[in-house]
Amino acid sequence: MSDADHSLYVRRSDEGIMVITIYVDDLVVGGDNDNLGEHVKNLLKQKFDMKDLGELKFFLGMEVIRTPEGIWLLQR
Amino acid sequence: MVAKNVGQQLQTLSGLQESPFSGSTNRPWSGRLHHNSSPTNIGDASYKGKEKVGEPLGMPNISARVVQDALVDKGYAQTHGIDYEETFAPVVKMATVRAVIAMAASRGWVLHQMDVKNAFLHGELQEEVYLDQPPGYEDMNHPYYVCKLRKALYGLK
Repeated sequence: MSDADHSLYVRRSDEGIMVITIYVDDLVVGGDNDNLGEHVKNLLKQKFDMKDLGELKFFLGMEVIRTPEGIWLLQR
Repeated sequence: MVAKNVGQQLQTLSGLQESPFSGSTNRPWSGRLHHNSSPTNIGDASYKGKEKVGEPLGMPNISARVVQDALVDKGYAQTHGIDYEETFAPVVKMATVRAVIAMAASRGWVLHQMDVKNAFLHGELQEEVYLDQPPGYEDMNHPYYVCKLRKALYGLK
């Protein structure tokens, strides 16, 4: 758990870094190791009944668009 | 969530087919009805309807209005000082989310999204809470018996 935000969870290890933010029942999972990410997501799915929504597209009323130049954030 | 694309909306609609209370461990109340002897912590049951527009399952090209009902506790009937406790939920700050997205952009991380189904059913109740029987599903022999809650419901405080 991060000191800066109690809904931010960070895991650092030799395998890489893993970051999870939680908004009640909505989670964003990120990190630099895709295999580790899938592993953590599978662990979460075992513990809770969860739906994997794939790549991040919407979060907290914000649209997230990935392009080669960077990430666009849109709020309407 | 504010914005939803059609695919997500249909997923939500298909979710209507699953009963949230099907798994025995996730039933919100215990199997027995309880005699209404203690006057405290009895909530009124009511339904909270959410109307959604979309195509019914297996019937593409037909638009239908579907009413999704959720059994809720009438939390507003709870009284300050008697049965009113704080509620805690993890709420991430918008600045944190933007920071994580910025990290992902600069370091080329993949971002994934997940949500917990029926999150309220994961909360364990610490207190004894009873609920009137759901309207329309009363036991005719014991209409005034109450249900003992095993899991939290929306509207509980």
